[in-house]
Amino acid sequence: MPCRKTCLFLTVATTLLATAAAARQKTDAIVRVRVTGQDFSFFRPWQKKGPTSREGLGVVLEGNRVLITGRLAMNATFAELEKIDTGEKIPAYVTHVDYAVNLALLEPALPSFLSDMRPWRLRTTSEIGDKPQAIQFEGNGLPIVTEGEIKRIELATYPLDVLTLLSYRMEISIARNVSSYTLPVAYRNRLIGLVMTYSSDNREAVIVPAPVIKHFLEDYDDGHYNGFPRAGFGFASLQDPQLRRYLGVPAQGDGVFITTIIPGSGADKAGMQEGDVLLAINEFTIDKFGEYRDPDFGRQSIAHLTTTRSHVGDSAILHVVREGKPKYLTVKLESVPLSHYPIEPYVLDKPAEFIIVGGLVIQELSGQYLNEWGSNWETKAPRRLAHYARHQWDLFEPGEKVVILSQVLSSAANIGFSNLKFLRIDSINDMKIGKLCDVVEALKTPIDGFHKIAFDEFPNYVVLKADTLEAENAQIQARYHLPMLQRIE
Amino acid sequence: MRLLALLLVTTLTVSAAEDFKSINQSLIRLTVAGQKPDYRIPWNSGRSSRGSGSGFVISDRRVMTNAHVVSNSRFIELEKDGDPERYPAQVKFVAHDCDLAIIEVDDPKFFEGTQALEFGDIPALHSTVYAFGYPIGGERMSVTRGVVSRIEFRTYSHSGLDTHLSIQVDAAINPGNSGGPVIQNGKVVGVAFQGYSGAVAQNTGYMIPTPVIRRFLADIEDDSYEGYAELAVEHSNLLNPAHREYLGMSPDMTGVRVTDVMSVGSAAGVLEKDDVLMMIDGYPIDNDGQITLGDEYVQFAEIIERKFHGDHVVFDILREHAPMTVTVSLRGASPYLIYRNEYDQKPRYVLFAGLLFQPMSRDFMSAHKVNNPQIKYLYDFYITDDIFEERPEVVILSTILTDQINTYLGNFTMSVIDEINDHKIKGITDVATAFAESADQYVIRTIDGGLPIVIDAVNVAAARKRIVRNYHVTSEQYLGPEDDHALP
Repeated sequence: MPCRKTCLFLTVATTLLATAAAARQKTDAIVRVRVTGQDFSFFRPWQKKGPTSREGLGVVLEGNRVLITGRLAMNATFAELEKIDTGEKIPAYVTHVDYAVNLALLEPALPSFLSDMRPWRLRTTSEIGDKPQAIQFEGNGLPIVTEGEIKRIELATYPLDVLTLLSYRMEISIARNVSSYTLPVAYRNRLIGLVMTYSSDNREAVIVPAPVIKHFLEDYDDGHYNGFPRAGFGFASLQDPQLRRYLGVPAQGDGVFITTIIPGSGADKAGMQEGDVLLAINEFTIDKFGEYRDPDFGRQSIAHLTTTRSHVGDSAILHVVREGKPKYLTVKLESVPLSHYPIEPYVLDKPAEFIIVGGLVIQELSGQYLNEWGSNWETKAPRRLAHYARHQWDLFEPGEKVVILSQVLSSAANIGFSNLKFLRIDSINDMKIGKLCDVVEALKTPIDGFHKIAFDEFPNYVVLKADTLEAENAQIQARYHLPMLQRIE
Repeated sequence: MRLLALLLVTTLTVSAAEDFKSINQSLIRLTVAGQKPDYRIPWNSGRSSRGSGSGFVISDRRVMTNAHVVSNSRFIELEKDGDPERYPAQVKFVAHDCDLAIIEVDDPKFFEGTQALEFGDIPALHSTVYAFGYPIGGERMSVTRGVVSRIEFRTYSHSGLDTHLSIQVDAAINPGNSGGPVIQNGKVVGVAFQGYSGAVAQNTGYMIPTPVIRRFLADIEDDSYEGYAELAVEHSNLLNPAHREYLGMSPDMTGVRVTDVMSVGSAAGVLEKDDVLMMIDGYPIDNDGQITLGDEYVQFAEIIERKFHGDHVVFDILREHAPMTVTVSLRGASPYLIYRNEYDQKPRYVLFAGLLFQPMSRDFMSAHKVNNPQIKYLYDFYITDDIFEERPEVVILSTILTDQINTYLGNFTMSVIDEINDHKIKGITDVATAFAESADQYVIRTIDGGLPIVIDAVNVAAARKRIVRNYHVTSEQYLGPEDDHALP
């Protein structure tokens, strides 16, 4: 068995290297985390998809808890912790998760499970050129400590596309197969972050950094989790001198152009307008690329200033130029709750809601629904739905939901229109539909013996006969083996 | 194998020879040199193309062929079997919406010995037809035999938009057959025009049937081709019994439900949303929109198909439970044109300070391989969301010829233009008008309202000169045929 010999040799080599590194780097108080997750099927919302297992390494923190990435905790049905050295296992519970910042906390079923471990502490400052180490373990419990180098510290869009937050970009070689979700990264015995994504092509790891983790923990530990705040505006850089002169600001100088404002956000309430030129936030001057000089991390996008560096409830003074005149706006920084979005960016840890009536499968449009077309749904999903998502703040009121006819389960009631799908429902029985539970309400009052379900587009509406509907629904439930005809939490 | 194939062709030629002598004499081969417009670099004269097709002699010393054989042509030569002469020819009428064209030949010698073919009716299903032409696989005339497989509405791929009656035959119809006559009992029952590649389906060729051909010939009688009239009404089936009951239809009533009436179309102000169309010119419309017309079961649109601009069509309708009769005067509907392939015309555009503005059209979308979701939305829903009402032409900043005047504008490619210096942009000519006015600066706003484009006028003249020279721009704008004379 020549292969076996080679393998053995390799293992020995790695172990030697690893031991050398381990002498400098704390590698205890890390547990294996195994999570079984099960996603809801948004195209068949009465059922779940098949369960999948994920594994990662969690970091033991003060207070008998384990920090992991939000991705590892997603739609968890079962989680367990395993001690690296003894292999001892115990069930665990996700006690807190914020998917927008990609972080979660687990607690073991028995608090004493972690009591012999010395918790990790955070190092919240890092700089480019630092050489932190990613920690992994062999199956037999031996640590693999790989050194990398922080190449960039910059804002990145986090996986669910809700927030743009600080990240470290590290060049490092990680054995991908050992623990694919969540790897701790440490520098001089302190945790500096968790690996969020890794690309083996360019050997680049994107790290959720300690400042984000610290914000997450402090917010949670004060007894009421508010989430990360947002000012609620979008901007574009202002390089073109012709444009700058037109806007009444010096041709060479600072400031960015405000392109979008989320309705109901702090920026909106403070009277910020599209077309304003933003010159400063508090004491920080903003350059034409939208960056300020951060005391810890140097040039960073202003989004860092209003998210990780601030807390919900803080105020910021924005210095803008409007029609050539300076203005100072006091913006209260708030988090934008999921419920505020017309099309909620994600629906996790809770079932897909739906109503089936006359074979019409009715749901709210969400990022999770669109994700059924894959992460590139912007181009793959039906054009109309992608259009709603892209222009949600222009087309709908904050908090109003986009209720759609997702598909039709063929039956006698829907002959002639069973091919309809992906249509926004505007009203039912002349009642405006702004959220899924409105459907239930509207169906209580048929007009002249018919339910009229009206859409935004062709074929404008369909009708269902009210008197036979209940019998029809029962038949559809039996024929399609549906466990229920509606689920509204 | 090879021998068998040869024999087959010979046998057919021999048996066909007796019956089809006049057809041999009337069959024409067209060789066409053309230039395909370049929608990416619209001032260029375009890519050269060379193709051949078939045609046949009809009455009044005319040659009929497909529009797609002679589209974008620069020079056409005709040949007859057994005559070495090449005869130059010109397009007299072309109907891109139904893929037919009439060619004229100056040399009177050309028609010597030819015989004008006559047109027959719609051949019966399963009856035998013969396709004549000059398809690939050899130089001389070819005949193939097949039966009529199917008669129905189909998209004519030349325009990419229009659907008309078409007849599917299982005779081999191959490249080069296009424009050739399909014969039954010595008469033309169709013009071969499209098929599938062998990779998709076997033995499916399509021909333009005589109702479409006769309509074309009637349309050009006044010396100009108007094209098809459009009802411009969207409708939905009424197969659902509850829906018929809801609309107050008794069990013996049938029809389809109007779901949209185009505001600039023939039926605007006459038909309304939710009208039930029950009869068209006295023909009862079934719940799926079909009518029985002679021996054929076809969509009710076939009635409109056979009519001309200015003709009337009478509908028996049910509106809010009340029966009534309405008359629609037919005309064309221009908003649909953006979905049609363009031929024999130059792409329209305005180039200003290196910014290339073009109207959104089918050719534009495919040439630029547009993947921008906003533009795709505007294209897909141009009619259904009535986008054409606000913007008869959607104008797009498609390309930037880089120059120091536009160096910061790279992010603006594929933006849709809303305003230029407070001129609302409803078409490419508005762009030309806005830029022709003198101003201190040109402020160009896109429809998403974000960052505007600002160009200081003082630098424009020099930039235009530079760009025209460096990029070999032969003309900075083309707005339509009236501009053709403007060329130096």
